[in-house]
Amino acid sequence: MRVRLIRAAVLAACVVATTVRADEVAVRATVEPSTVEVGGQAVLTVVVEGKFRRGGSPELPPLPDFDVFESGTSQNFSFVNGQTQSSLTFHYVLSPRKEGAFRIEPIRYAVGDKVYTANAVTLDVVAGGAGIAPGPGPGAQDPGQKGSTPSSDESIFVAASVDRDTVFVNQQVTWSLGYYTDGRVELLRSPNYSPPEAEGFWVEDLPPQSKYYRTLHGRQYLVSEIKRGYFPTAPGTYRIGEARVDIVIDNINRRGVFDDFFSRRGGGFGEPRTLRTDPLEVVVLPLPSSGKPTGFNGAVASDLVVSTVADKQVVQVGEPINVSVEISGVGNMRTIAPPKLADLPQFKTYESGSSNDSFKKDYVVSGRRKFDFVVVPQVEGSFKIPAVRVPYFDPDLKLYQVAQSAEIPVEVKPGTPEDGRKVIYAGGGDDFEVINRDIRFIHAVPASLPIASRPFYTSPLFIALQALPMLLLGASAVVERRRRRLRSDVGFARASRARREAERKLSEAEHAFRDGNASEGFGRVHAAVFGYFADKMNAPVAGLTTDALEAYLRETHASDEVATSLKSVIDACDAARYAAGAASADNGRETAARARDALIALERGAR
Amino acid sequence: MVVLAVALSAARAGAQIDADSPAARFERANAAYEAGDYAAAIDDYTRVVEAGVVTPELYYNLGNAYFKDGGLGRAVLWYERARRLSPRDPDVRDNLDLTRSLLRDKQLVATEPRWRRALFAWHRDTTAGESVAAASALYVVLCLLGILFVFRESDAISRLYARLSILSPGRLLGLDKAQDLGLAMGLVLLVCGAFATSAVSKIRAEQARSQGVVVAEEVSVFSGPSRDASVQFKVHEGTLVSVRDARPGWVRVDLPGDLSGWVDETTLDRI
Repeated sequence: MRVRLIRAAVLAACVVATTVRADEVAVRATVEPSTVEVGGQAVLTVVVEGKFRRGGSPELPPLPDFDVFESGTSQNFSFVNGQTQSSLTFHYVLSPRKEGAFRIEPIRYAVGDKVYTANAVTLDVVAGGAGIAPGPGPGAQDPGQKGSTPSSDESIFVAASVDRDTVFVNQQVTWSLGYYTDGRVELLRSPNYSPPEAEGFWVEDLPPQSKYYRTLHGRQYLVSEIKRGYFPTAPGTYRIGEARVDIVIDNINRRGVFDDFFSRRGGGFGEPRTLRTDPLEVVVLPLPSSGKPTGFNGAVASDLVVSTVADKQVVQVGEPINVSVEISGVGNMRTIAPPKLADLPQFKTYESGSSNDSFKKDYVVSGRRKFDFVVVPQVEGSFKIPAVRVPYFDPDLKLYQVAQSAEIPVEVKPGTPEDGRKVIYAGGGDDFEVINRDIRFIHAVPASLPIASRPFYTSPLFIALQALPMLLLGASAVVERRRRRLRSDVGFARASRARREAERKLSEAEHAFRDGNASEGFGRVHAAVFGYFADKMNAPVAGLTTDALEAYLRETHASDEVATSLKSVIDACDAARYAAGAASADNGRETAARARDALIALERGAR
Repeated sequence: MVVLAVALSAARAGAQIDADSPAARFERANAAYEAGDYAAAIDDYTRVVEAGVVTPELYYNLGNAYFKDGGLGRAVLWYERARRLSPRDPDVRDNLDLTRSLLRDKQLVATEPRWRRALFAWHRDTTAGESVAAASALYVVLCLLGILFVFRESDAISRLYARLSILSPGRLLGLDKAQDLGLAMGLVLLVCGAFATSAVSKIRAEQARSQGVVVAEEVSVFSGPSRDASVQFKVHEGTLVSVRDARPGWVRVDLPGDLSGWVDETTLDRI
């Protein structure tokens, strides 16, 4: 967090609220009160709302006529359907240095690469006595202040102090810078303040700037004082460095009047000077090791209070209950860890949002953190939402303490079966929303994790197999067509079986020749040949003549060799049948073989 | 001793391999998801994907992790990829519907009439491989019916038909055997053709990767492939687009409502 201290005069304020919506983030700026006197204080509030997770601080426009202090932030997050709804509120104290009507240019806020802006706001500042309190008296010092006691007799000087130089880890150290001027020095420009370096601390600005008169060494000084809160993050000895205030003194025209801190303007060249404070050391003690309560999580605070609130205590099974846990106290409450609801086996529990508010009353940092939960009862009965317990260390008492909320009784009545299965995904706080659908849960790791490969339907085998059914269908059609023709066409049927019948008769002839019955064999050969041609010509065997056979051979363009061979077979058969002694078994086998060869050649030629 | 040392070294190496195996990473990613560390879950799931593993469970879980991490665009992308592998998974469908309901460009989500969704469920709820298998099986059935038709006069086929045709619609309608078989063949041919068409369209879409999801938060759609072209409209993460053309660094996208234009190719991922 960073303070911007900008030189300026003081004026009043007005309330102007503007909103600029761009996409899903809206930035709103307001100023209260609407009118403020010079030296008074107005609060500039910047609210950023929308669906975003991370964002920084708003970028304020240059405000040269105001002293500007950050005075706290407030955060609110809710989670709906996997998206974060955020609401951030930033408070700034504006202390005008002069009267007039002022326009604060649009405040910018960056979310990721996008910048969202609010419209400009205007302020009216009127003249008035900036009530300056009387000082603590000559040479007096605030009780408990450690540091450089103002001992200078200069007309203008700065001094720093801390309220305590020994603290526990995460206990507040209030650092103060006093700017003293006796009015005899005229400044040509507003003083330029540089805060001290301080490693090992969490820093909070503590507005507002205060002014009072104080008498030192017989002189009356106007003291302008600003404060910062330092929270050490670890034990050890730490140093809050020197703060610097750069001024330019008008060493010619000394007007000699008391004036406001950082408010003078002038011309000319003047004499530049740098005022420095002394660095301060702070001893940070570790938290006591003994007496730590169980569950202690490093919380350091005073007057810690924990409260738990449920929006309803009588519900049905499956009906959600909003439970808010609020932790408030004095100290750096940002370091308070989110509490956990104790295990509730009969309930489903969801975190639904959180908010964070910080306060700086009387220069003491305090805060309030709120954590929202949704609990959904799964079974009927009487239950208690257990107390939330927050152990912490109280640096004032130097003791560990435990803040605890009260238990909340809950009566769960029977619900419909569907109630128990409702999927609840919650928004936060008043924006709580029951949505009946959340994404379904992840799947378990499958038994096998296949590596990417070519799909089966691109493999050549699969593509080739696709031809098989069509081939079968085609073959079936051919077979059936032939079968039908065989049934309906006697000539086709006889011609189709002619070769087979001839072969059968030739085989019988060979059997006869083997049995020594040559005459019978030659008869079979003759029957085979003439039967073949009778079948081919679809004519009766009895009427088939040699001339008709020769005519058939000519029609079928049988070769001369085949025709001659067949003629010799027929002649041999006729000779054996009609010339006694011409038939011999050897001659018959040779004749049968010749007849077979001739018929085979004839069949081949016919194709 | 040397043998023992070598064995121990090998065992350690084996353990290392196991720890880096896709299955181990998958388990780690699931554990991270359950612990609410969605960024770590995304990292491990992505490494499993990079190892070449292709399962709907992996893609679905990665979509879930992106959803929980607020990346609705990539959640849609991975749910769509899971849906291609497992189109009938109700978890994928439900999460995709829920994610789409959260998108900014809801009006650009293509919607179909209920009757049409029901009529084409067979197409939407099947993978390319399943469509090919169905078309192939129906083709075999068609050929077998053709063989039955060819031999319908034979005694064996007549007896077979008498047994199988008890519930045949054609027979109930009074059609004769040839007409009945012809009707059956016609119906099978119709369904086979539908699955074949479905398969071809899916395979083409997968090979061309013609669908994409906008993964950038907001994308300007230009009238041409140049930043100097005029911006016609803007789309937001999670919007489903059809990719029609590509130039170096640019792709032309079509959206429902006859919207079309050119976008920076890095702003969308192909499914």
